Amino acid sequence: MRKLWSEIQIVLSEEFRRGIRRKQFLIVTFTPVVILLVLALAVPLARGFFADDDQSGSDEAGGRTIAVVNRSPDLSFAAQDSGAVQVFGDREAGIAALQEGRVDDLFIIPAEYVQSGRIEWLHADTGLSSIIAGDESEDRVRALVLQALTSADLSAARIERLQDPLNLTRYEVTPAGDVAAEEEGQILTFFTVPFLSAWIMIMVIYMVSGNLLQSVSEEKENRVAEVLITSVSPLALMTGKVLGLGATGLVQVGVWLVSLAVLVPRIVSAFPDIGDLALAPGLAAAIVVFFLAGYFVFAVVMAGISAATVSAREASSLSTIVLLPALAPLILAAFISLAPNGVFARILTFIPFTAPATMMIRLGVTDVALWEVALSLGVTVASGFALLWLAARVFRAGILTYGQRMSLRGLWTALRHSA
Amino acid sequence: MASALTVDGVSKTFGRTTVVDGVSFTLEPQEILGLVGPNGAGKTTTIRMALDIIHPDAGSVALFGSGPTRRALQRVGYLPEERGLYQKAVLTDVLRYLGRLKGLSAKDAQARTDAMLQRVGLYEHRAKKVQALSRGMNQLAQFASALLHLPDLVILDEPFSGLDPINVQVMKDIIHEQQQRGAAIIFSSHNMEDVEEMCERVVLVSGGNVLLYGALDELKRARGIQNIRVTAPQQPAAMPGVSDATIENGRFEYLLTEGSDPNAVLRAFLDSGIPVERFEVALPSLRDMFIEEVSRARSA
Repeated sequence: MRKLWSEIQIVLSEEFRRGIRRKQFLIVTFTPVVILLVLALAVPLARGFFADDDQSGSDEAGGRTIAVVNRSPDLSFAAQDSGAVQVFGDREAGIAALQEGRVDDLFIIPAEYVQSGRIEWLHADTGLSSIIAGDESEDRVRALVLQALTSADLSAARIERLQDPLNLTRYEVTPAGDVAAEEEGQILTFFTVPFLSAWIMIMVIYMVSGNLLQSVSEEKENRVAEVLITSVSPLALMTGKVLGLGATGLVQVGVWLVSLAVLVPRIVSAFPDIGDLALAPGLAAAIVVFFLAGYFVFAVVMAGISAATVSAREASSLSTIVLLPALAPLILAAFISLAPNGVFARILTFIPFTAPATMMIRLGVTDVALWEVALSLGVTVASGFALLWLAARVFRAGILTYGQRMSLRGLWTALRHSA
Repeated sequence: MASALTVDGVSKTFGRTTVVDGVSFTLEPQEILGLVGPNGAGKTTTIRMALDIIHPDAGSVALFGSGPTRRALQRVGYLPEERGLYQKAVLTDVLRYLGRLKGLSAKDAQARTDAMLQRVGLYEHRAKKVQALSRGMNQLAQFASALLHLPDLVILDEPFSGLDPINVQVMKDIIHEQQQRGAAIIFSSHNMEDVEEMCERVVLVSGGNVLLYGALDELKRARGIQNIRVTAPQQPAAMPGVSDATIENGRFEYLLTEGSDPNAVLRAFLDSGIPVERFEVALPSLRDMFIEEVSRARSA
């Protein structure tokens, strides 16, 4: 056992070393980081640029100065103390103030406003800045008009409530009768994060499986395999490859996660309306465990495919078909989410190829019994080890069928001959 | 001391084809054994069974006195006929990796890699990718990789194919060095002259069967047929006891029939008044025996 682990370590470290030196690895790993870095620098800068632009014509209050020309007999406006809202008696005076830069936005309320709701909005901004900078002015004139419509006898707090009357908090009543409040953004987070994790798992499997296919196929094609097999057991070779190339994939994910953790808050801070994406520690741990288990199963399957096929190209085509079960839970995520404890979702939970993604999604949207989680994980990991053993046999058998496509019958014969 | 390799009656059948049928031989330490045979004779399958790459249907293989365990296989260096290395990897990295797989520590693997690359004349190319090396260099590199861990048994399958004469000589020298070091060597080749030069004993395999096995010298003598080489301006009109004659650059070579007296040939020249510059009695070559035995087996 010690000898086996020693052999695995040698293969693992070699595959890892080779894997992280590949140009493809460096490009795929660091391109998203560079994009995030650019966004982290550019987004706040862009926001700052427009904010500065807004303030160029602003008054002492620090915001935009708006002005109103009211012709409606149903409304009455009084000039604001701050001077940030000015009231003009006629359209021409307002336009003159706009041209002179004393006001940023001029709202002309026609006589028939109550019937039509129509208001003219005049401004001197151009391009994109007119859209972005105008948001604040629109909010303020809405508050003014609302106040005027309600006879100006409402407090500022009531007007704010009128504008935003619903701030709902959801509570979940459990079968035991406990009432627990859901945190803001929880539903979105609890569905989105596991779903995205499952996607990332599939993506990483695709990338790593490509390296695995290439690695095993290369050894078969250039006949190094025949030398290797006299130096190291096929099981150690396959395990080392799966773990070594798997580790490169995890490094990739690690780099992405770190860059996301460091850079995304900086980007998100420019958009204060985006909710909190914090995850419950238990769910996060479950996602990591099922991610690794799923990754293990598919990496082993990829190794087996490349051992049974003639070339990397053929292995690649076959692997695409084999990876379809991994995608199934993602395609069916809506059904799984609607009935996370239904028969369909449960069945997928116990099939090794669909279990990881299904369980990630289920855990995100509902409470899953602990025994189901344990059984699903157990089935997946046990299948991974069984497939690893099989992949090692296929690899050994594959050496003897060099240059020939291995049919199922041929595979069986070769397995017997290699035994 | 146990034999380095004992192959005892091994057989292997793929589908309906029996590729190896009861092959037996032994290889002693510090011995070079020639494994010869025509294409498809079963040499590679025999080697694969010896290395536990495939298991025999019948018979057994012993490495250093016991079964072909992983521990025993760690003492074997193997250069397969169809060869290759990791093409996109750096030469020194590949050799170090293969050395580590054979049980060397990282430090020893690097030291042995440097030493072997120097020995085969590839040290200056150590930082190059394998794909940047010529075919001959690739072959030398793989030959070096097979010897990194100072194996007690070296199996070389067609080691000289595609090499220029200088590199062939380098390899021959290294093979003899390995023998001097104590390694047992299986030398498989189609080139009978190389086998004759390198090996004390041979196994001739054809159609999965052993046709000849033993010390080369004894095998030659046992045949009872001798070659006579005569250097003379011309040859007599009649030559007693000769089954075949060839002429090359003023030298006549005669294959005697079984039981014939070589002196009768010399007497024929002298009786005809032809002066003889050189008269030589030679044993049949391995090439002759190979052709004769394989032809006989095929026609049987």
